[in-house]
Amino acid sequence: MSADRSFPRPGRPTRRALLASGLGLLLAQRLQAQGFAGLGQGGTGFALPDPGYRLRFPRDHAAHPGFRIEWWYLTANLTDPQGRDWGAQWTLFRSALDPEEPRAQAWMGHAALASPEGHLSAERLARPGQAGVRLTEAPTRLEARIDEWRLTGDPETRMRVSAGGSDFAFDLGLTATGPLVLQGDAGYSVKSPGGQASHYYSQPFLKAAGEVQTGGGALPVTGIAWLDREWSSEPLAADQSGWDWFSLSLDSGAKLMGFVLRGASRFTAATWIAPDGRATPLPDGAFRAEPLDWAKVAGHRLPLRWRVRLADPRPEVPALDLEVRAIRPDAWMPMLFPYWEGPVRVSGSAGGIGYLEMTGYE
Amino acid sequence: MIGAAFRALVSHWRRRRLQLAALITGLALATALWTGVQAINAEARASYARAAGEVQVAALPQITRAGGVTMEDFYTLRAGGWLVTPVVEGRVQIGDRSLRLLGLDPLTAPAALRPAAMTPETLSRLPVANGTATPATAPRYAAPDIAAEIGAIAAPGLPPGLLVTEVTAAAEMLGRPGRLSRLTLLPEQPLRQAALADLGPYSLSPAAESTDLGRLTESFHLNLTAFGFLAFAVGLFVVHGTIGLAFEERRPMIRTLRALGLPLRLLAALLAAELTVLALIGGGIGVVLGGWIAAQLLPDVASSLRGLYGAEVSGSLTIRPVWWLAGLGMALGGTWVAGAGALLQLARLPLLAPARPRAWARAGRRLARLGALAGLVLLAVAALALGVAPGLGAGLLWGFAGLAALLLGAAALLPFLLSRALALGARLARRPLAQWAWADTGQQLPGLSLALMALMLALAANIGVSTMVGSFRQTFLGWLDQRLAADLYVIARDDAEAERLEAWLEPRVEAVLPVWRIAATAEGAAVSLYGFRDDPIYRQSWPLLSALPEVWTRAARGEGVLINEQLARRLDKAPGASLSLPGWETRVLGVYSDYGNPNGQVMMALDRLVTLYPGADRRRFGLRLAPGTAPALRKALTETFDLPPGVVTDQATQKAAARGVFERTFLVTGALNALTLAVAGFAMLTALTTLSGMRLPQLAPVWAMGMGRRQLAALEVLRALGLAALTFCMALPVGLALAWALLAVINVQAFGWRLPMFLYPADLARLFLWAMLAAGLAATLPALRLARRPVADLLRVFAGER
Amino acid sequence: MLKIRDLRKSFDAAGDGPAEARLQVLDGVALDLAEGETLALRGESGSGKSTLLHVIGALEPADSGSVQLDGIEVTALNEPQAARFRRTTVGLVFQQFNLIPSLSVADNIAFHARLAGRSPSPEALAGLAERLGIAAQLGKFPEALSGGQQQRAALARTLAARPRLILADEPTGNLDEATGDAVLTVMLELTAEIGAGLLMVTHSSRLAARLDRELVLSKGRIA
Repeated sequence: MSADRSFPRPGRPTRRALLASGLGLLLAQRLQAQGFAGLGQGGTGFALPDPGYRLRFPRDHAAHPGFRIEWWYLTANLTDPQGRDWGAQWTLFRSALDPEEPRAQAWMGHAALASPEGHLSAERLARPGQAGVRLTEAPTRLEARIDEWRLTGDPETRMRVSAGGSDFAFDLGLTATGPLVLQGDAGYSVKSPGGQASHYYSQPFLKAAGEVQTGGGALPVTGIAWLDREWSSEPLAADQSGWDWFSLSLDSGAKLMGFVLRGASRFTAATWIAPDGRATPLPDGAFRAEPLDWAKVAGHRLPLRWRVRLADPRPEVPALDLEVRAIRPDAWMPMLFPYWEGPVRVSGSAGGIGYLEMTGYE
Repeated sequence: MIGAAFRALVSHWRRRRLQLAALITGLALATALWTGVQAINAEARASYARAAGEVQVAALPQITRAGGVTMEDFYTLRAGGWLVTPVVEGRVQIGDRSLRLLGLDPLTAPAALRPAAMTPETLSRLPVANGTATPATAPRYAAPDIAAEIGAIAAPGLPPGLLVTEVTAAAEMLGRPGRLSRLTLLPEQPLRQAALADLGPYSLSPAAESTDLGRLTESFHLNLTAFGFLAFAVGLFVVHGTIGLAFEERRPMIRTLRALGLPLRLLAALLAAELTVLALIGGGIGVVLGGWIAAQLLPDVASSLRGLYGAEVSGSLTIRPVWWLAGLGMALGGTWVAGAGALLQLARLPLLAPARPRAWARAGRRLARLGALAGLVLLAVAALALGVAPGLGAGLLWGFAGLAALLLGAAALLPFLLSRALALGARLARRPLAQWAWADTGQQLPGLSLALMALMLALAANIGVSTMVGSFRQTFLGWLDQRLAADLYVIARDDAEAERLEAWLEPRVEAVLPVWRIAATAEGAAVSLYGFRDDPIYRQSWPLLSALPEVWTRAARGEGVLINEQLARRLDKAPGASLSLPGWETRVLGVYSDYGNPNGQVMMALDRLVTLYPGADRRRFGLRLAPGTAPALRKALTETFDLPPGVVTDQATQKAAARGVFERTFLVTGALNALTLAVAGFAMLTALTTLSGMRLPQLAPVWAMGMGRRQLAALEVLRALGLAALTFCMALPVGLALAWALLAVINVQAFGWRLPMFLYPADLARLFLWAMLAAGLAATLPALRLARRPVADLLRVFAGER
Repeated sequence: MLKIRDLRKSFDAAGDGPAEARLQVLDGVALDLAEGETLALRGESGSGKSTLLHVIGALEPADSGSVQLDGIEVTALNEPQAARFRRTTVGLVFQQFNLIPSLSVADNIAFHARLAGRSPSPEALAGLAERLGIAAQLGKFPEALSGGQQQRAALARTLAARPRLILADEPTGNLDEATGDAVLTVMLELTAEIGAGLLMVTHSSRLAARLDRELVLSKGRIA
């Protein structure tokens, strides 16, 4: 792995990159340097993802401070009254600093608004007190917050999300139209042939309505949204350098989550989600994504048009041959960990919209 | 062939070690001056930027609440979308060192405020349970020279005596956990925020406005830049003169080499190569010397400069090659420019042209006339640029162009004026010896003119810069005494505390002088409106530039206002003029000087301010005390109200701080002045030494006719002194014009205030003596050589054509 | 060996005078010099003797006419060629001694030969110095030598370079009669030994008589 992995500038520039490079790993190195080596992979005192763990809700909406890293990750594809495309991103990252002291956490927030005029983004860093996640049960109410950015409510019914920077703001109501979906093997998502993994579930069935603002007045928008929740302590495999992560909502009401981890070999995983929420995890290789067009964005060469194919013998999984195209090429996130994240449009054997995240492009 | 020819050319230096030393020393000194000034400049700029960075952040608006702010307030405000960053300030004792402690939040403090090493990563390494760190685990940062001693991380760029650490750890160290000195509002705020009042009893206090040291130091920086330019010019003249003389002296040898069949092109290439080698040697020594000079002059920047010459200091990596390149580039460029003329002459001159200085002298006379013409044109340009252009709104660039034209023009005019003066002297002289001396000096002039130009530039720079600096110091210190007339200054944390403070103070001091204020716009200009309570102290000491009679009485009655010089210039107002303030059509009663402040100010009676602008900030007071009571009162005040440091300031400290900054700059300019003069003196030494060798044919006949060698030598010294005195006379008006341009044009253009110019005859007299000393020393060595010259040398002049 | 035909050269008379005020210094000079021949050139001051020598030595260009040395047309040489010609083919001995003050006498003597790409052996140089009577002066610098010694060093420099033709401009003009005679004796001997031709400008008919042939230059022409 590359030498520079420290927060805030890790070698793996991404949200999921925190798996590999965030605060946690830094600490691992420190502990090893202090003579705690030999505790095994990820054995730095943090909890490890367990294939036997059964996710339970609302319990697992809350933070898992025993794990090194965790995120609440919401993206929304929106349309204004003039029919123009917008996109919104709201992300909260948690990093545990000390396995012995669960209260020692650092938080980071990213917010972005892909507007017809341009891609606007903001970043926040915070200590406990400024940020955190609280969960009350009966009725379920999650509150994830960093500064004034908030994601509140119950992922299975209704939520509200708001954030903004000096030049933009959004405030959206979210209504669940389907069930939560467990990714991977009942929420145990494998990230490499070597067995690195995380706990991962999603709420891909969200209807969004609210307002966006860029400089001038507020504008009403409607659309769909997708929430990802993931936590782990394990770094990715040493050779993995970046990834391409797709969350697609097809016109049929079905959803497709798929990612390619680029390394010495490519590792892919995907989940086919039927319109009723039934999820089929797909093994390495069933999901394939190839770049079609490259473009230079903010000094980085990135594939902004993709061919995405799905091939699986099971009858409930359709064979798909899709073209996924970035709606706005400029969706660069100039953060402490820079990456590309923006809305996409799907065409080919099925139509749809979604979000794409690309990391590790020089 | 090449080897033999090169050996012959270089053998010249072996026989003329003094000349070689002169050339290399001249080059090295010129380069050193240039590099030194550049280094000091860059270092000064960096430290100003550092200071300005602190001032800027200190000057950002704050959010306050009664009783002081805590980390809880930080969280509350952040949750409401108010992007603030917590700051803790105080003093701590570590070992036997008393340090200023600055606590910052690495995650939210702007990068400009943080030491470079204190990144967000710092906090990520530092377990902050519930948002609180412990002093034991929080990394501390300090300037490299004290870091090891106090167990801190070395952070180049931190001012000495400052210890930086994480904010909650700092609060713990000061024994007030969770309590903050202030919550600074960051410049960028989100589009949507909660109303401040909804978050709690907070108030937004505008940026603290103090005497803006950043602006003042920037003014000095500008003047240092001008000085760097002068040093460069002097250096260039020196190099040019030395090289020209070295070529001239070798002309017979060059003729022989060509007669023996050395091709012209090869000869030129060899000479160019020789020049390059000399330039690299001289330049290399110069760069090292320049760094050394800079390190000597600014002791506390020595560490970063040491980085130039090998030691790794993070942050100076990019600087190092630039220094070397710039210094060597200057040496090479100057040498080549100087050598190009000589080489061109070599190429153009016929092989058998006489190798005698006469031809050179004739060319010199033509050059003098040409130079005079060019000089007049340049002076006209200077007059235009300095006198007219600023009126047309053309700015700083014109000012500097004018300065350049003034100096170069005066330098170009010098040989002509000197030759006129000498011709006049020859005409007025009665006795034959005097007549000969005048005429002979005229003959010598072309060979000396470059050195004299360098001397004149050095003298003019000396006069200009010391007059400017002296005027600045006198004005500024006088103004400080006036403006900081009150003995103590207090800033309350909020209006309620201000009221309690005032009530507590009233019986304990001679006078409480409220300095209440509000920001507003007057006739399109941003201004601060101040309220004052009538007090004798204003009549005694406020620095008025112009005013109507009984200005203070009338202002106190609310009949009008006083404005600062900047506003008066901006709005073109004089006492008596009308002025539109929000809600008040009034009159300007007086104008006062306000150096160091970029903004407009208006002073009015306190009750006027309160009636017109109820929202004014009422937290500031000046206190007039009985002599000697300040420390005790300060202590009592701080303890009674539990005031954080920085809230009570005494004028003595403020004055001392301001004085300290300027004294250091004065020291630097003084040292540079001396060095520049030394370089010019050295140029004269070189020129005179070379000339003395070539002048035997002129001296021998006079000797033969009955003048002793000693007498001749004394005459030589006298002649050098005379030329230096004449040069000083020319440098005097040029230097004063330079000072005037710096004070009255450059400063007004750059900063909006004009400094009065003071003359320092004693300084000028001292400078005259120094110039005489330099010229005398420069002339003594060649004169001694002449006095000791064997008679045979003089006789040989008659034995045949040399 | 040397063949000069109709050689002409003029100078500005006063420097900045009108063009017609030009001074015709060489006005159709013609002369021949055989292999190894020594020729004395006499004439009054300003008769053009030195200029003729300079033109032959490729130090100055001619206005017109021809100078051929061993078939080389000297007047047609460009600057680098002229330099090469001076280096390798002719040797110049001036009235002023033109030694390089910063080189030792030994280095001065070897200098011309080295420029021409030859390195005379120390023994040869010592022999030459011995013959010229300056062996004791080899380690000194020119300024320490008397006029006669300096002139002999300059002569040695030319002889060490073994030119085809030696051009000497009043080589003994600055020397007393006895020294001048002695220098001339050695000069003639050594010139004969290296088989060079010699063209010597002199005022003195006594010295001129010691050479093979004598010509008088008057008003730019051979009388």
